[in-house]
Amino acid sequence: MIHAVTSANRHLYTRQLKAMHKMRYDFYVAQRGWSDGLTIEDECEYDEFDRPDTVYLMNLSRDGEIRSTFRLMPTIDYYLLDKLPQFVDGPVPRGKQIWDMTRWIIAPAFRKASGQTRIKTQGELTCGLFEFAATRGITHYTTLMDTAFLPAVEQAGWKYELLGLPVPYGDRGETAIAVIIDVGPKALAHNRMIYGVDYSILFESPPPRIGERIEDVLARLDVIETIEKISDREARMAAWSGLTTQFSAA
Amino acid sequence: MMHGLSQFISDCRTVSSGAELDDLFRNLYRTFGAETGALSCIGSPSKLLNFSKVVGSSNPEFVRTYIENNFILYDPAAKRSIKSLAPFSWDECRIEVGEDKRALNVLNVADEFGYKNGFVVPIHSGLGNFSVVTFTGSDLDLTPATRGSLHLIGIYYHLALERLMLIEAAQARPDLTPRQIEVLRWVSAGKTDWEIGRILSISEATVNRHVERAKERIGVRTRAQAIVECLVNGIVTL
Repeated sequence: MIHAVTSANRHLYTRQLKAMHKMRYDFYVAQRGWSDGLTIEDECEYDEFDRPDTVYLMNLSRDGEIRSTFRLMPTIDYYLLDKLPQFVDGPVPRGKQIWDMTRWIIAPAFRKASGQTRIKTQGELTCGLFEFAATRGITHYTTLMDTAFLPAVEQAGWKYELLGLPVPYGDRGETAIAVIIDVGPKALAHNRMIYGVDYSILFESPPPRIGERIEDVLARLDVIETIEKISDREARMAAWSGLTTQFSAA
Repeated sequence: MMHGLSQFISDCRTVSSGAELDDLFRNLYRTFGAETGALSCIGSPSKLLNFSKVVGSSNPEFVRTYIENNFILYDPAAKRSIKSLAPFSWDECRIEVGEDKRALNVLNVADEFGYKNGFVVPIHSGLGNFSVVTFTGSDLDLTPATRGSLHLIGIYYHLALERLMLIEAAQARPDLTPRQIEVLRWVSAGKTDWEIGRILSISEATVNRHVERAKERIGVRTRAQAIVECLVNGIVTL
């Protein structure tokens, strides 16, 4: 299930947020040697875009472990492309229906997972990403990514526009490119289809009752059970074919 | 972004013949001062793209020299393309090779044949094909804008070629149904599953099923894998 972690429910996810900042430290600071503009504390990485209006999408396992995460924020205020305008040829995109996407990471344990598990993990996060857009009326996400990632985005069938030319970043000759991706309702349908996710995958916790933990909220709302039921597609398909057999027998 | 480049990217999604694609490719890289554009495919697990092709005025004598002397073993540009997906120029290679005489020899011979400088774009596609697109020219002026533009030209040229070869392979396979071939043709024309469904009066899910079955038969990997593979290989969003 993909959890939308917002300022309203962030205190329910203290453990996961800490784990996410640690993963970011490992990936961006330890492996890639980034440090400019970053705050590093206790092997965790933070930057100026970890703000109250930031939303983290987290793909969590049933026991609350992170599989993968995204960071999202509105573009009506200062955001990454305002800080790095050299990646944008023309005006920096801005609007209520445009959000910016950064820090896309898969947890190391899931990088080693078998092909199918990995695809399911990523497919669910991608569908959650597009579903989140639907809940907020977001039509476009901007993102700044390694140019080497562009063929995969093109071949996944996403609709996008390039915002500028590739420009170098980092010290190994890598270049990044800014794109704006169409995430309207058609895009959600397309992604659900290519990843085979035909159910709602996004969960945004309502304000919790005093003293509740995320597990308590999920239990109170009966969310785990519902999700388990509907995500167990094989069982559902089996049940369905059993039903049709009965139907035709009658 | 430059109009010609935007137009090329859009044409790459719909172009239906290799010759037409090569013309578009050549006409565009020439505006950036490159004289040849070469795509060589080093690793391709799906066996769909196992070739080396040069667009523009390549020197057959240089190609012969390269092959006869097994330059591929020492070519610093080939080595570097395997290590990293970041684009680079031959000048940068020259600095890197230092005292390695065999590597320097490759660069010097290229230089003697008039290939003064080259710009190399390694590409790893979502479908699992790896290729290297190299642009050369006697006075290739690699400004940041030229580098960025050639990088994109290389990527979209590769993507269009891969798409055309996929269709060709699909059409040559007798075990594909006529419907699968028809659907793949529309895919190759850049239509979405939804649009194809409207054209053929079938549901989007049916279109998708035809595409997926055809891909299984041809032996290519799924579209979903495209993104995942890149992410686990550590390609980043900022």
